[in-house]
Amino acid sequence: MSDVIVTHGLTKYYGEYCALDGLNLRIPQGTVYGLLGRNGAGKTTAIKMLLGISHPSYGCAEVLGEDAEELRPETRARIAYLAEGHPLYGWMTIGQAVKFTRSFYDRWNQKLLEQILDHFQLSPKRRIRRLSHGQRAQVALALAVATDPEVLILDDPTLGLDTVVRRDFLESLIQIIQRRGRTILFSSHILGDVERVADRIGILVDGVLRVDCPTDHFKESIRKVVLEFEGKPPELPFCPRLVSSRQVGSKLEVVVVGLNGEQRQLFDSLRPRCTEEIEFNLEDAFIEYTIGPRRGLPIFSTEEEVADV
Amino acid sequence: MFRAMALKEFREIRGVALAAMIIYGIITIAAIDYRSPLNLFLYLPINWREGIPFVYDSFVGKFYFFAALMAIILGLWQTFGESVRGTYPFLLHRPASTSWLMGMKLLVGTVVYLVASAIPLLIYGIWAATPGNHASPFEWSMTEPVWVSWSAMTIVYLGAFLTGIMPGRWYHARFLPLAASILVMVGVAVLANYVFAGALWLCWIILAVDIWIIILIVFIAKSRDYT
Repeated sequence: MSDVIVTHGLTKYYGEYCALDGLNLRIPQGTVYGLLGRNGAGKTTAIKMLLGISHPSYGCAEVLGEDAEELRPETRARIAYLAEGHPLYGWMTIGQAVKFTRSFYDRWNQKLLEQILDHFQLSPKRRIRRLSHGQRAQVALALAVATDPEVLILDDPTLGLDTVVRRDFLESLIQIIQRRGRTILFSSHILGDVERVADRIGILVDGVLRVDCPTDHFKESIRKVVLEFEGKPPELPFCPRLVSSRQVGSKLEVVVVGLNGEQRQLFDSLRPRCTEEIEFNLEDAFIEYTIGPRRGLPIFSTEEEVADV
Repeated sequence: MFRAMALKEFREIRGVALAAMIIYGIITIAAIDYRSPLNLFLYLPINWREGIPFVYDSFVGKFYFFAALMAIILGLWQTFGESVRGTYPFLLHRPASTSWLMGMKLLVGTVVYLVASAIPLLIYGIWAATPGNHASPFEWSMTEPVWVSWSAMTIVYLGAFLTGIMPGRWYHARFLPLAASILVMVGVAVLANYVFAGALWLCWIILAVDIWIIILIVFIAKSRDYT
């Protein structure tokens, strides 16, 4: 399967501040890739550079085999992009926005567009500035999908949507995904959304891609081990692939990546009264992973490999 | 695509054009009819009522001022409008080159400025050329400096557009293109009025400066970050 999105050491500086640091990413065709990270982690910067809207300080990116900075209009027509906040021209009606957008594309699925607008109960006569944030997102999605894209890049598409609209939006997205194996890259803060949709995730921490693996692998790899002692817990010696550790009363809570025999042996050597291993859902795993000591986090790259940094 | 983009741009700046037309209408009526109460509104000196159209009158100075103002507002409107609404990512992701998209904006903005500003000049010129309307000589060649200045306002429009699209802070680099374009326009207008009849050759200089600014606009539009 060919890679639809590839980046090589993609780096972005804003003055002295490094927003994205050497991003190396490969997204194969048909993958639904969730790009996660806290505010300011570099998700939007990365996405904008993939579309040539922002320019890298170092490194390069390719989308559909073309340099992202020099995307030809024909290639751009194969990529749909939903920018953060769903910017559309407020003075336009939905019908005018459709007409304006459609004029740029040779390939346009009007039937699908009408189905989506109908599903969301959006009349073409409604003015965009009078739509709610959720409805605007729905219009943006309809416009993006009507171009029949091979790649969908969505920058925090569910940001600001209420639970019901978000669910509906995601259901639609899932239906769209199921059509002809499209490649989707989307960033999000809402881990539940990512868990439902993404096959693979990447986590950016302070501009560095710390995780790039299947969603399930990430969830399964992060474990919290709670060691309970008779009295005050001892100091934790050097532990490979440690994310964080903290003392809570007589308990020592340790979060590690890829819990294995070596780590279990280390924990046993502390002679705890009892040991409990806790699994996380994606949200908890993400929180535990990203609140850890930022630069020293273990990096996930593939299912087999977990490296210490 | 051409039509859709042109209509979109026109729709966005038509309010500016309309406001400019109203102001142009007021100053043209005031210049044609010195008894008009609009003259009181515009504080026109009494002795101008006997002036010579396009040479010494109540129209040209005000026309320059409002034409420059319209050019500045248009240029900033077309660029800041997209920035403020956050629509640059949407627009720039359309399958068309950045040069084409910016070129369309510039084309529509320039045409709207030129047409909207030419109408009052033509009306005033036709009035001045009609015998019996004023007690002074008139030749169409007397209007040449004003037409040169009218075309020189495109430099101001492009300068404002460049200011709007340039990343940077307001108080230095970003403001520079607009300030420089106003200076160039004033220089050209002064020169045109000094040369007077036969000043049309200055349009070649204006065209050269316009092309140079357009090249800068396209370069900056392609190389800047839309964050």
